[in-house]
Amino acid sequence: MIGRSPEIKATLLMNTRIICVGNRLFAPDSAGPMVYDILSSGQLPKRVELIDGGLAGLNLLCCLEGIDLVIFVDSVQGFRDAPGIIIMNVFDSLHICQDYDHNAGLGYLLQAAPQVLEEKLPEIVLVGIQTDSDSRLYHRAARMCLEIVSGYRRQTVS
Amino acid sequence: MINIPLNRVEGDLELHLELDGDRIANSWSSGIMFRGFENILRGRAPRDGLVLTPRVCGICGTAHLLAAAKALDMLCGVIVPDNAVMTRNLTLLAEHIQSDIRHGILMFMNDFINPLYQDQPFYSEARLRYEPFRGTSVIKAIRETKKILEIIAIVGGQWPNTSFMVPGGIATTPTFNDMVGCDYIERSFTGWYEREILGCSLERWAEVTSLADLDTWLEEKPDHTQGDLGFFIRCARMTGLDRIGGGHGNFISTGLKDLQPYSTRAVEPLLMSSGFIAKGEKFEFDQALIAEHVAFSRFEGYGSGLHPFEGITIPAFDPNPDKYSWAKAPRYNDHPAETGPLAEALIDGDPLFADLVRQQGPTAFSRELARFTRPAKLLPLMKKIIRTIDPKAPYYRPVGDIPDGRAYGLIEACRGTLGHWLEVQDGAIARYQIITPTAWNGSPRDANAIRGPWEEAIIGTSVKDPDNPVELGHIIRSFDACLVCAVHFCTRK
Repeated sequence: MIGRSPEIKATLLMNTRIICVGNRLFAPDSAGPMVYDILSSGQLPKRVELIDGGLAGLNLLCCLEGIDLVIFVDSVQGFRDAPGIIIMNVFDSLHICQDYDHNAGLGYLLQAAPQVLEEKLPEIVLVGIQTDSDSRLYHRAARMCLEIVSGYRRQTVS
Repeated sequence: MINIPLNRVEGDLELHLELDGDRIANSWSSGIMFRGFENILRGRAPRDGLVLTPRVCGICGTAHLLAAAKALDMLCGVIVPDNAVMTRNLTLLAEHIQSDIRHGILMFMNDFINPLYQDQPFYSEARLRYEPFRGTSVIKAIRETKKILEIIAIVGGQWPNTSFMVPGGIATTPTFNDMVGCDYIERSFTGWYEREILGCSLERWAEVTSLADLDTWLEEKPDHTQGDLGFFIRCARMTGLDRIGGGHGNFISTGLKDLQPYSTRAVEPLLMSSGFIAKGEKFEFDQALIAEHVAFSRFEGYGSGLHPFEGITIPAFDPNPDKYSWAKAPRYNDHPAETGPLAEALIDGDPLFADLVRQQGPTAFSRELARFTRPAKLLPLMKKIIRTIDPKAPYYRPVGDIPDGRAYGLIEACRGTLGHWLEVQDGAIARYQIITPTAWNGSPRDANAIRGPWEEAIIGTSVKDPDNPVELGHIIRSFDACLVCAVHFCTRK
C-alpha cells in the first residue's frame, strides 16, 4: 500500500452497507424507504452498498455478512419528545420482541444475529427517524448516513 | 365472551369467543387492519403489480411476485420458456421451505414452553430447544433458513425484495456456476433437514404412508424420536393436538404447475395436483367457482359473493357489530375451505395424510405435521429443477405492451392458495383483486352466515385458562396465520 494515503487505504478496505427498512405504503413506517429513495438518486461513495430492506426483518441476516459497517435506517418511536433523528451504535435500549412474528423487526434481527451468524458481526449503527412525515428529516438522515461512512473510515484509519 | 389478541402470528388477529363453561361455543375471527392493495394498484401501469404486490407480505414476497407475473403472462398470451418456469418454481420452493421451518421451530414449537406445560415431561427439553434466541433448534433453524434463501438471491440477482420475474419469463440469466451454487445450498440444507428435523433420510421418510407407519417410524430409532419432528409428534400427542382443531373438512389447493404440457424436458408437467375436497370427495379445481363475500366484513356490501374479476373493495367502517373483520370471506362454490400444506397433501393424494384425516379428522397435529414434512417433498423437487435448468437455453420470451383484458395468476404460496386477478383497461390497471391463503383460512362468516375455517376449527375446544389459551394458539398457528405485514417500529424499552 506504499504511496496510498490512509484515507484511500481505508476506502479500499472498508465495506459499508446502508440498509433502509420500513413500509413505504404505510406513512408512519416509511422513513427508511424515503431515505432509500434519496440515497439511490445520488452517487454513493465507493464500497458502499444501498439496500432496500423493506419488511424483510430476519431475512436481512445475509446482509450482515461479509461487511464491515452496517447502517440501518428506520422509523423509531419513543426516543425523542419532538420529531428528529437519533443515531445509536448500541442497541441495548431497543425493545426486543421475544416472539418471532411480523412485529419482530429490527430488534429481533439484531438480537438473533450474534447467535446465528458464522462470522464476525459488523459494526452496526441505527439512524432512527422519528417523524410523521417530514421530507427535510429524510434528507438530513441521508446526509448523516454518508457522514457516518466517512467518519467511520477516518476513525478506522486513525 | 372473551376477546383475545393473538401474538406469534404474521400480522394482526383478534379472536372473539363465546364460552360455554370451558368450551368454545362460538367464535369470530377479526382481521384488524385494512390494507387496500387492490385500491393502491388501480390506475397504475400493469407491470407495477410486480413491484408492489411482493410488499403484501414480508415472508412470501416471492409467491406474490410469481402470482403477479403469471397473471401478466396470461394477459400477454406468452408461452414462458421452460427455464424461466423452473427458475421461478425453484425460488418459490426455497421460500416455502424457509417459511415451513421458521414457522415450525420459531412459532409453533414455542407453545410447548408455555408455563401451562411446566409439569409435562417434555417441558425442560422444549425450553432447551425452543427458547427465543437461545434454544438450540431455534439458532440452527434461523441459520439454515438464511442459507436456503440465498438461492433466491443467486437466481433473482437481488435480495430482499427481488422483482426478477417478468411477463415472458425472468429478467436474470442464471449461469451454470449459479446452478452449482444452488445445488450446493440445496444439498447442504437437505443434510441438515435430514439430520436435525427428520432424524432420517428423505427416502426413509417417504416410506411413512400411514398412521401405523408413523408409529413404527417413531419407535424405530432414537434419532427419530430425538429429531425436531419426533419431538413435535411426542409433544403433540401428550398435549392432545391430534384431537383438536377439526374444522369444516373442506380443502383447496391450486397445486404446483410446472412446465407446459408440450415441454420436452424431463420434469413432470405437474408437480402437485390441484383440486377441492368437500366431505372427503375430490373435485377438479376451477377458479371460476371462487367468490368473495363481505356480509360480515367491513366493506361496502354487495349481496352475496362476487368472483374476483367482479370484486369490489370499498372499505366501510360500520359500527354494526355484525361487520367484524377487515378480511373478506373467500368461498369455493359457496363452501369455506382451508388451505395450506395439509390441503396440498390431501389433494395431491398423499397416503399418510389421507390416512391421518380418515382416522382422526383434520387436526392441529395433522396440519403442523404436513408443514414440518413438506420440505421432504420439496427438496427433491428443487434438486430435480436445479439439475434440469439449461443455462444456455432462454429464460425469457419477449412480450410487447401489456394488452387490455382480464387474467389471473394462481399458485400455492407457503400458507396455501394465493390468487391475483387482474383487469387492464386503456393500458392501466382497472381492477386488481388478491385472495391470500389467510383470507381463506381466517375468513369471517359469509353471506350464508357460515363460519370461516379456523373460526370453525376452534369450536368445541376446551380452554383451561382463558388468560392463557394455549389450546387456541396451537389451533390457529397450525393454519400458519398471516394477516398482514404490520409496522416494524423500533420502540424504546
